[in-house]
Amino acid sequence: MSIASLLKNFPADFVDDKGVKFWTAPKMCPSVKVFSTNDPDSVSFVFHTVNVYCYIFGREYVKSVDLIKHLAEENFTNHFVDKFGRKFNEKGEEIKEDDDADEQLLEANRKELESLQNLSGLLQLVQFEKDDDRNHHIDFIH
Amino acid sequence: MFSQQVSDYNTFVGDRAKFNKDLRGSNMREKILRTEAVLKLHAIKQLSGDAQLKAITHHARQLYEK
Repeated sequence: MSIASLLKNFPADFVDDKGVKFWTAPKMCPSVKVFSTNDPDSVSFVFHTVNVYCYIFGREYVKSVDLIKHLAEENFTNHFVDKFGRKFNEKGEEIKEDDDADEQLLEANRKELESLQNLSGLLQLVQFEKDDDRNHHIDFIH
Repeated sequence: MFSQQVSDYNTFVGDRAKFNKDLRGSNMREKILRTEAVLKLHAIKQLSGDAQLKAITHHARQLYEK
């Protein structure tokens, strides 16, 4: 479950029907990270993630952080969709409103997979290597 | 994260029957996430040049804001 999905079900001020706040110790309310070109952490995450994917797709590493900043903002729309649309009760148990929803979603994915064309070439599997500073692995984890 | 996704993609490309067989060992949520990951990688792989880099970058940003 994503943080956004969790907060959708349990907003920071969520109170159950007995008047008890959901986000009380030891549970700490998380927050969704929002990308900003002024936030070094978010830029760093996107930059190093992009470079790991560049390796996977057989591309050269990107050296320009400014280019990634630009691309990250260009026509970006965050299509956050709670694909699973799940709701939970106060105990964190899922409330099943449509038992077939998951099956329908999986079936749609299967059909889309079966219809795929132009399947050629494999992706490069990432082999974690901590001692090579050029591969962005440690930077991604950090 | 990366290894599972890439491994699934490569298995799907090389042997769909094996991919489907592998999926049987997953629960429903994992099946959905694994099939979505393969679809996403395929969509990006169809692109090239600047368009592919942009798609990768947006995917990375979506991971950050998830």
